[in-house]
Formats: sequence, C-alpha cells, structure tokens
Amino acid sequence: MPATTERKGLEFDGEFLRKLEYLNVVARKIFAGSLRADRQSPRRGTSAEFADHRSYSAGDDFRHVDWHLFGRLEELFIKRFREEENLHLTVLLDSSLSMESGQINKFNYGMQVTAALAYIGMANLDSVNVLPFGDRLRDGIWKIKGRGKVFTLFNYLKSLEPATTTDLQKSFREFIQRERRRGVVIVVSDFYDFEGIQPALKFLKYPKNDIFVIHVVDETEEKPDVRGDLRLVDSETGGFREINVTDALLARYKKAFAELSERVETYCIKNEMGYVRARTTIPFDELVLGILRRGGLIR
Amino acid sequence: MAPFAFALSGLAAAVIVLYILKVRRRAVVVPYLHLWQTLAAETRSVTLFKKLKRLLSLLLQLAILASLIFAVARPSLGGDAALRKHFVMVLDASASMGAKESGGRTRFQLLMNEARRLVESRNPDDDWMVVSASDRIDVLSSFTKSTIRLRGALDAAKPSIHELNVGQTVAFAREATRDKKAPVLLFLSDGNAGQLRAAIDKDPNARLIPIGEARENVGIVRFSARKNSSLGTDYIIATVRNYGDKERAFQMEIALNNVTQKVIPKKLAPGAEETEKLQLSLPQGGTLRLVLKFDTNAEPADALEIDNVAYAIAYPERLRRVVLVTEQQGMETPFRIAFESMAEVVDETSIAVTAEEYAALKPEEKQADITICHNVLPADLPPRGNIILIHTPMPSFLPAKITGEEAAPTVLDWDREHVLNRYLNYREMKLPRANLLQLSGSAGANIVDGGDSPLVAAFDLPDRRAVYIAFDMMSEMFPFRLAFPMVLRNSIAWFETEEDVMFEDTYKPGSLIRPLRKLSVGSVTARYIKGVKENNLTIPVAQGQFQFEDTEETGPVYFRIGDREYATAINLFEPAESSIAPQTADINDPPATGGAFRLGSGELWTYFAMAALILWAAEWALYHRRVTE
Repeated sequence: MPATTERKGLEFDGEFLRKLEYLNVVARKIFAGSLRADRQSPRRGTSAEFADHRSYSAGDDFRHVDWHLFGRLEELFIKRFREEENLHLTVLLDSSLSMESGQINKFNYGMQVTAALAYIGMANLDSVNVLPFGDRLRDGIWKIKGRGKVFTLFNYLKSLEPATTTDLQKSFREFIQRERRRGVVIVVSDFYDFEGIQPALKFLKYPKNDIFVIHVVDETEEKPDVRGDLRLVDSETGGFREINVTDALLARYKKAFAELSERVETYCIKNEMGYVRARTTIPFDELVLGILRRGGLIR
Repeated sequence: MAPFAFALSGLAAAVIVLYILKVRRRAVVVPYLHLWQTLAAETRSVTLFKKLKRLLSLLLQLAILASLIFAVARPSLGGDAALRKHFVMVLDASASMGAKESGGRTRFQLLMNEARRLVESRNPDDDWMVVSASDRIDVLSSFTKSTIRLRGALDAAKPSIHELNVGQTVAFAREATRDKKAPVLLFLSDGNAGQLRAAIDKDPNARLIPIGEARENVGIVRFSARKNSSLGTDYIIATVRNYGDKERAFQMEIALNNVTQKVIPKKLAPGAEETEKLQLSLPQGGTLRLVLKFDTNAEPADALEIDNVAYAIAYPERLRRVVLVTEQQGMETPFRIAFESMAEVVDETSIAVTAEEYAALKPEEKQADITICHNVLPADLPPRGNIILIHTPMPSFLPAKITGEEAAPTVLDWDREHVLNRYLNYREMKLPRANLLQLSGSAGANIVDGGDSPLVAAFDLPDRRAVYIAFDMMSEMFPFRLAFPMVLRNSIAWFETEEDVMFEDTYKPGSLIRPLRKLSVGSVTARYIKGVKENNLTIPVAQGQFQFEDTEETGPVYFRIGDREYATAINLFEPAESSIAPQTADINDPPATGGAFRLGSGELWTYFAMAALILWAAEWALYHRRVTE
C-alpha cells in the first residue's frame, strides 16, 4: 500500500467544465419532467393542490375545515393540501486525512465528483450545499444556486485541504442540526470509520433525506501489495503498529475490507439509500454518468 | 587451529548492528490502521517458540559468522599438531623418469603434473620441502609455506640420466624431518624397480605416489672392449636384457667411429638377458657404439631410449721398440722371424745385437720398451723399460738368485690365470737345462713351477716389470720357438696391463671421472661431445689428480695426458633404471606405501564453510518468507 499520495492541486479547467456541462445535459435528459424545482414535497402544505382530509382536532385552523363535507357528513374534517418545496442538494465531502491516500488521490477524486454533482444541482435544482467534514462538520458553502456560482464552488473546493480524523456521527449530526430542510444528501467518503457508518447514516436518514452514498475506494487500499516487517502508520492519527504483513494476513485484510464494504452497501440498500462504490480508477465523469443513468441519485 | 581467526568474532557486534538495521521496519502510511490492528491481533503469536522465531534470523546470522570464523581458523580433528605437517616431496629425477608414456609425454612430465597438483591442493599451513633425487639430492626448496616458492622450486626441477640412489634419498628425507612434528615423506617416483617401496616399507610417515605406466623396455646392461694383446684382436662384450613383459625383436648394431662393424639380430623373451662376445680386429682403435634398433612400427614401443645406446673405447695398437741381446751372432734368427710376424706391435727400429755390440750402443740406442736378453746379461742395461731374461745370469735389480742348475726340469704346475701363461700349455713339456732360482721378497711370482724352483718368474718392480725364463726356450725346443711370439705378446700384455688402464671402462652419468693413477703432468685436456658439438676442456692436475665432472651425457670422453690419449665412456648400465615397470598404486596397501593420498585429511574448514553457506541460504529463505515474524 503506498504511503499517502501527494495531492496535486486540482485544476477546474476548461476540459473539466466541458465534462460538467456534458453531465448536465445528460442529467437534464434523464430527469426531464422530474428534476424540477417544484418537486412535490411529501409534506402537506399550503399549496392549491388538494391532498386529503383528516379529522379536525382542537386548535386546527378553521380556514382549513371542509364545510362541504361537514354538510354531508356532519363531521369536521380539515382539508390538506400538497405542499410544493424546492429540492436541496447537499454534498458531504469527506475531508479527513485518510482521503489523502490512494494510488489516485481520493480527495481529488472526491472533489471532482462533488464538483460535478454540485454543478448539476446548481444548474437544475434550487440550492446546493457543499460541506466538507472530518472529525466534525467543516465550514462549507451553503445554498449556492445557479451555474454562475460555479467558480465560487471551484475556488472553495481548491482551498480545501484534508485534515483531522473521521467522525461520521458527529459530522452528520451537526449537519442535521444545521440543515432543517429535507433534501438529497450525497456522502462522498472512504468511510474509514466503519464503526460509525450506520449510526451516522441514521442521522442523515432521520429528516427523510434522500441519501446517496458514494464510497470512494482506491485499489491499493482494497488490494494492498505490501509485505514484510512494516511499521504501519495511521494517516489520520499518526499512530503506528509494527506488523509483519504476510501473504496470509494480506488475504485476510482483503477479505475483511470486502466484507466491510459489502456491509455498508447492504445497509444502504436495506435503508433505501443509494450506494455506489467509486473506485478511483473509474474516471469521475463516468462515475457520475453512471449514477445519473441508474437514476439512483433522486427518488 | 589459527587463534587469530577468533579475533574475527568481534564481527558479531557488527552482525547484530546490521541485523537491527535490517529488521528496522519500513514505515507505510495506511488510511485505516484499525483494520490492520484487528487482523494482526487475531494472528499474533504469543507462544515462546514463536517469539523465539523472531530472533531466528539473528541467530542464523550469528551461526553463519561462527561457521566462517571456524572455517578461517582451520580446525582439524587431530588438533594443531596434526594439521601443520612437514612434507618432504621427493621428485624422482632419475633416468627411468625419461621413459615415454602413452601420449608422448615423459614420465618426468607426469611427475611434475602430479607434484604441481599436490602443491596447489596442499594445506597452506603445512611446511613443504621439495627435493630432486637421483644419484644426488638437490634441495629445490627448503621448508616453506610459500606457494610461490614451491612453484619456483618445481619450475627448477629437471630430469637427469642419473641412477636413483634409493638409500641416500630415503635417508635424506628422514633426516630432513627428524626433528619435525607430523612429518610426511612423499616420494613421487616409479619406485625404482621396487627398491623404493622396499626402502620405505613399514614407515608410517612415508608415502609412495607411483608415477607412470609404461613397462616395455630393452636395455644394454654391459658393453666393453678389451685389447687382446696376446692375439692382437679386440674382445667386445655386449649384454642386453628385456625388462618388459613381452618378447622383443631388435638389432644390435656395433659401429667403430660411426662405421658399422657388426649387426646382430636379436629376439629376447620377457626378462631374458643375453651376452654377445665378439672378436674384432680393430688395430686403429676408436669409439665403439652399440645401438639397439627397434622396428619403429612395432608395438609396444621401447619406452626408454637412453639405455639403447652404449659406448666403449677400443685402444689402437701401439708399436714397441724391442732390443734383443744375444750371446753370439746367428742366435737372433728365430727372434727376427717372430718379430716379423708381429709387425703390428714391434717397431721397425727394433734391433738384435750381441753383448759386445750392445755395449757399444749409445744410451739412447739402448732405450727400449722391451729389452730381451738371451743367455747373456749385459752389464749396462737401461734403468727403465721392461725386460725379458731368457736363461741369463740373475741381474742384481731382481729380488732372486740362481742357486744351481737342473738338468732335466719338469713342470709341476703353472698359473693358468696369469697373463704370461695365456694360451700356453706346459703339460708334459720336456724342458732343456734350467737354472734353479730362489725368489726373495714379494716382487717375484712363480708362475711356472718346476718343483724345486720356478721355471718362469714374473717380477713386478716399482719402475719396471721383468720376466725371467730359467731355461733356454730358443734352443732346439721347437715348440718353444714356435710359441715365442705368444710369449712375447703375453709379456707385452702383462707389461702394459696397468699402463693403459688410466680410467675405468665406463662411468655412470653424473659421476666424477678421476684417473686411477697419479699423474706427473700439470694439466690434461678432456675432449667430449656435449649436445651436438665437440667440447674441449683443460683441467688442471693437482697432486697428481684431477676430476672431470661434465658427465651429464652418455658417450666417450678422451683425455690427453702428456703425449698419450686415454679414453673412457659414460653409460647408464643400471638395471634399476632400465627396469621401468612402475609400482602400481594399490589402495589396499597400508598408507605408508601408497593408496589414495589426501592432503586435507583431518581438516574441517571445508565443512564449516559449507555449513556457513547452508545457513546463509536458510536465513535468506526464512527471512524473505517472513518466517522470522
């Protein structure tokens, strides 16, 4: 397994923009008619579109009583209307130190994916949050709208540097606390906090967000090729352990890594979360395109 | 064992340091150490054995170092004394080592190959002496451990045509190692017809390393020429022997001054020896050469060439001046007749005179090689020169006296071995009146015994020889008249027996040639063939003696001493050298006399070196297979 790779400065150049625009065009075709800002909210609201009735209870606004129905049934029912809401997209980008590793720098890869998804969101949806996290939620960009702000997004991403350890629960809790609106939440992370993945995703699921998990995996981490008497140093904590990496241990590691990844995937599927394992060898645009074509990003 | 080697044990510290550096772990940054920790904890061994395995690499490396140190220290099962031996390597440089082996190489070349192999494969801690042995010992290198010196010594070794002095060689080797610990005497030789094996038998320190395989050889054992003055011929004896295992056919070619005189076809059974005796008339004398000629296509080939050629000297006839003194004129006739028949030995200046005439001769006219007095004794005989007195008064210089006269003497016996009696038979001979003699001292010898007194006496005086015949053999005794030439020849032969013998007939190669008699000259000149050209060497004479040393080639050697030339020849004539069949190596022999010889016996360093190699391989395999974790 290679040591932490040196992350070259990510350049959001013309080529990158062309790829984003292509993705955007594809997204429009795929989500024509559904990727509207007037996406119906499951919440009942005050729009003109009737949704259903419910029994009157004390304190309800009398303006919403269906008097026609009272005349036929002599019972008070409150009219409920479908509320129309804007679609909010939040991309939670893992910016812990573990993202700095990988044969292809995972953080760069994550930023490219984030930039692409955010661009699509900014062009088609109401607002986009791009929020990095590590051991906590870091200051990010909130409610950015329109393609015109794309360079603001790029500049922000370019200014990001991985730091700290990974604490998914704390980070996601802070996100939930700060973002009350429901929306689409995309988590881009290597999830090197296997113990905290499920509780953390529960947090995200709680406000009925649509959650999509992009599990960034580098081949050298999935199938490491190191042997011998090694001092393994944790990229986040700096802690180390002297271990003789034998073929047998390597085999067990690969098996354990695969099991943990599958466990995350299984959890996501069971909990109606989108999941994609994003190997860094797959170009980011292919990955995003695949996500869009599968329709797993928006439910 | 070399103690200095253990100083290398300090390298153990270096090995440990290198080990620590070697096992210092490479740092690898991983994104999620927790997973590795979990997995490693599942497999972490806690048993003592597995903990020790972590040190296995270090232990193996220390074991490698220890093995190398022991290898350098060169321990042996027998301890230091057994390890450091003193070798005397004796190279047989005798004539038999010139035998041609299959492949065309000489036995000596094979010997040198073996000697070099031994030197190169020896234990460098041993002291080696290299000796070349033939009839003498040449120390090519004293005891040394230096390979360079030993190689130089071997380069200096040269074959010879000398015989091998086995006793001297073995004695020298033993003496050289007398005070040495663990002596080993290595004899690289064909065994010298078994003599060497016999000489070192039961010697636990001696080993014979047999060299060579060729066996077939026919050699000349003897070749000599004698002047038969009695008959005026040359008597040649040639003896040859087949030393091989197969019947051999060849020709004996005898040449005088390179002119072939006789060719004798010969066929010899294995081990057979035959002698050819020839009477040749070689009055001019010269160098006789006997060559054994084999059919070049015949198999097997004759392996040793040096004993196929031999030389002998045929002396030329010499004319002697004879002065005959008779009682009266007319009595010299039978003598003249005899002299004329002996023209090859009697000089034409010889004279026959009466006593009166003799007295009138000048002193130089009286000088003669032989003076014969018949019935009369001149008063003034010359002080030198040999004399034959026939029925004369007894001169004063002879230790004898005439005591009377015997009218009818009878020969009772005669000395048949004496030269003077050669070819003469006195049996039942009727003799005329004879003087009765009484010999005094030891100078006179009774060679024809008449009972009461000698009938013929031979006197060997310091400066001359004399024959006294007590009866008048030239009287009416026809047989004696007829036999006088023989008597005269026999007398000449006896007079000159020692005069012509200045050297032995033959000398061995490498030996010193010294005259048998004292010389009165200041120097002599030696003439001999060296290589392909004739060589002349003037040798000073000191106290009547000289010595000639350049005898490394077979052939004739001529010495000019005063106005006369003497000669001798250098020949091998050594059965032990001609018998070239080598001693075969018998592995069942006790180690003293042969068998497989191992220089490195008792040494363990190779085993330690191999152990180090095996340990290194094991360490490499284990370490790189992470067994040590």
